Parts: sequence; C-alpha cells; structure tokens
Amino acid sequence: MRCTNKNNNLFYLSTMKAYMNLPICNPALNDESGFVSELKSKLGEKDFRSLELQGFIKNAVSKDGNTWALTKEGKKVRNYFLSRPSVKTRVSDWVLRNLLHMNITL
Amino acid sequence: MGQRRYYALWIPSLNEQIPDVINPEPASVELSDIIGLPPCKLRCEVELSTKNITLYYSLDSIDNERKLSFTHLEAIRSGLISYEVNIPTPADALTECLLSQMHHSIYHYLKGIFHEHNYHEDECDSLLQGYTSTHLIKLSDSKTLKNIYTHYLTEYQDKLNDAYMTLSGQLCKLQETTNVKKAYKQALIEVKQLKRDCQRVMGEASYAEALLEMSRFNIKNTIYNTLRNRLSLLEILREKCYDAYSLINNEYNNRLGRYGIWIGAMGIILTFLLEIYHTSDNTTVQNKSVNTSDNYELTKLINRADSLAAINQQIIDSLQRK
Repeated sequence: MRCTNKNNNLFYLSTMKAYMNLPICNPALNDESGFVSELKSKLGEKDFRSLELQGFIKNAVSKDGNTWALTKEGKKVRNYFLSRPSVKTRVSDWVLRNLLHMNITL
Repeated sequence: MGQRRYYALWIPSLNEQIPDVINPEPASVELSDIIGLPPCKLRCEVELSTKNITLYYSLDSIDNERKLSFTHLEAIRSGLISYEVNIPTPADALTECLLSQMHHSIYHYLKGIFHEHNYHEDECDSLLQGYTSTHLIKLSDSKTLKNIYTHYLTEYQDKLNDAYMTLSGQLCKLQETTNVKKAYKQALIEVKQLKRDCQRVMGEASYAEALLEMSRFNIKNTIYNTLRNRLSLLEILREKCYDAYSLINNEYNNRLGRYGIWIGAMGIILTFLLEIYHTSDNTTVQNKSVNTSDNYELTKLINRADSLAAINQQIIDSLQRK
C-alpha cells in the first residue's frame, strides 16, 4: 500500500500507519548521503524527484557521478516520523498522563 | 565548437518585476555530499550592464578551473530571464547535466544573483528544474511563454502535491501521538515542528500562487484549476495544523498552569503549617532555657553569698582573737 499523489485523503493516511510509506521514511535514506544513481535505483525516479522538490535532499556534482545528501529539513522531517522520544520526554509523558491525568483529544 | 542550450529561469518573486541583479558577487560555494569526494567549486562574475554571467567551476582542484559563459537574452516582468550557453565538447560531469536540463544546484546558485532565499534554508532551494531548450527561447512568443509557464507550474504542482502528502502524514502522526499514545509532551514537540513546516510550505506556495496569477491568461484552464485547487487544499490543511497547534499548546500550558497554582497553594499551606510548628517548638525551648539559666544564676548567687558569709566569719573571728 503506497501513498500516491492522487489520494489526498487524510483518513487514508491515518489508517495502517500509511505515513510510513512516504518517501522520506524510506530506509534507503538511512545512509544520509550517497550516489544519486544508487538512490534512484532503490527509491524509483518519482520518489527521488519528490524528495528533491520538497528540499529534503540536495544534489552535488562530482567527477564520479552526481551525489545526494539529506538536508537539515530532510533530517528533521525524517526524525519526526522515525525517531523515538527521549527518556526525558517519555518520563514527562508518563507524569502528565498518569499523575496529572492530562487528557487531550485532537 | 560546442552545443548550444537555452534556459528560461524563473526567479521567484511575489510581484511583477523584471529580474534585476541584487547580488553581483555571490560567494563561491563548494558542493559536496559525500565526505572524501572532491567538492565541486562554483564561483561567478556578473556584468551588471548586460547581466551576462561567467560561471567558473572545478570538479577536482582549483588548478583545473573551467568556465561557462551565460549570455543574457531577455527578461520579462513575470520574473523570467533567459540565457544562452555554449557548452563545450567533450562534456564533463557538470556540463553533461546542463545538456539535458539545468542542474538544480547551478540553477540555485544563479538564482542567488537575482533573489533572496526566503521561507527556506539556503540549501533547500534546489527545488525546481530550470526550463531548458535546444532552440532559441523568445519570451515574446506566446507559445514559448505558455510552455515555460506550464513547465514551472507543473513543477510547483508536483512539489505542492508532495508537500501536502508529507504534511498530512505529519498531522496523522500527531493525531496518533495525542489520541492513541497519549504522549502529550511528545505531541507538543511534534506540533511545534508541524507548524514550522506548514509555514515553510505555505511560504513556497505563495511563490506558486504569484506565478499562477502572473501567467493567468497564458496557460490552460486545467493547469490553473488544478494548482488553484491544490493551493486551497493546502490552506485547509494549514488551518487544521494551526488549530492542532493552538489546541495542544493552550491545553498543555493551561493544565500546567492549573497544576502550578495547586502546587503553589499546597506549598503555601505547608509553609504555614511548618511555621506554626516551628514557632511553638521555639517557645518551649526558650522557656526551658530560661528556667535552666535561672537555676544556674540562683546557684551562683547562693554560692557567692556562702563565700561572702565565710569571709565575714573569718574577719569576725580574727577581730575577736585580737
């Protein structure tokens, strides 16, 4: 199941953690830099272009071929989806939920 | 000998204006992604009178610096500027990129001569592909102009589509963090970043909107309507994100404020109780110490009286003996 540009429904994304299929969450970006040709073969031309258009990867030219690297913005958005909260944040969450009985619903 | 290429570059602006040189001496840059590989160094010189650009680049060391001359052709009020380049053969890694389309990094670097990078990090500007042609570009020709506008608007459409998907994904992740995981501190961190990302995307969308309005009568209705629709959807999504930010931020701060008041009040009561206990305890100690010191003084007085009496007795005895 992949996110496509044709389907803009929030509900679609909210089900089955579909946001994990966004190009920025792809494990091919784990290295944070590399050669464009390798990344294109892993991601596909469309997802690669999507990352470029959103400013999540930058390109450089080198003698050995074009290269890519995640930008600051790309790293932030990738961390948004993939990183685990810090211990401090988890402790705060536990206190807010269990001791202070905070309850917010979006 | 070489191959000629023509480029029509969109210099993002919010109002109609002919692109003008605002940064005639852009700083040289080193493009490098992989540590260990030699960087691609770029620098350029601009002729203010003609707007011709000479781009110097080296792919390995400064000794092998090569140059490319961008000859200015035309510029129009909607922010488009056209250049002609004679690309020498055999092509190297950089000129090869320029043959098929203008490389993002070169486009970005040249754009910096005419444009200030707002709404995004400098490195995130490599967004759109420059319009490239093997034939001379005449900006006065309506068909050519239509092709150029269509190219850039389609790029913006793709970009905003992708940005919409990413922002939607971020909002869904936030909903999951808040509603399912009930991790409110984490939600606060996420919603702050979501707001920043919304601002960045909407900032870039404003350029798309400006180009759309400037090209209103030169493009197909379908392109206009699709991009207009996309901009509306983005605006709705922005409102949802801002609402989420207001709700979480206000609720979190209000709750913490309320708990702060309770904790403060309890602290005051506790201090008051401790003060009472401490005061009563002090009085008892004081009384005790007063009693002890009184006894001590009395004993001292008795002792002194006794010793005086003894001395007096001795004096009386000695007088009687005499």
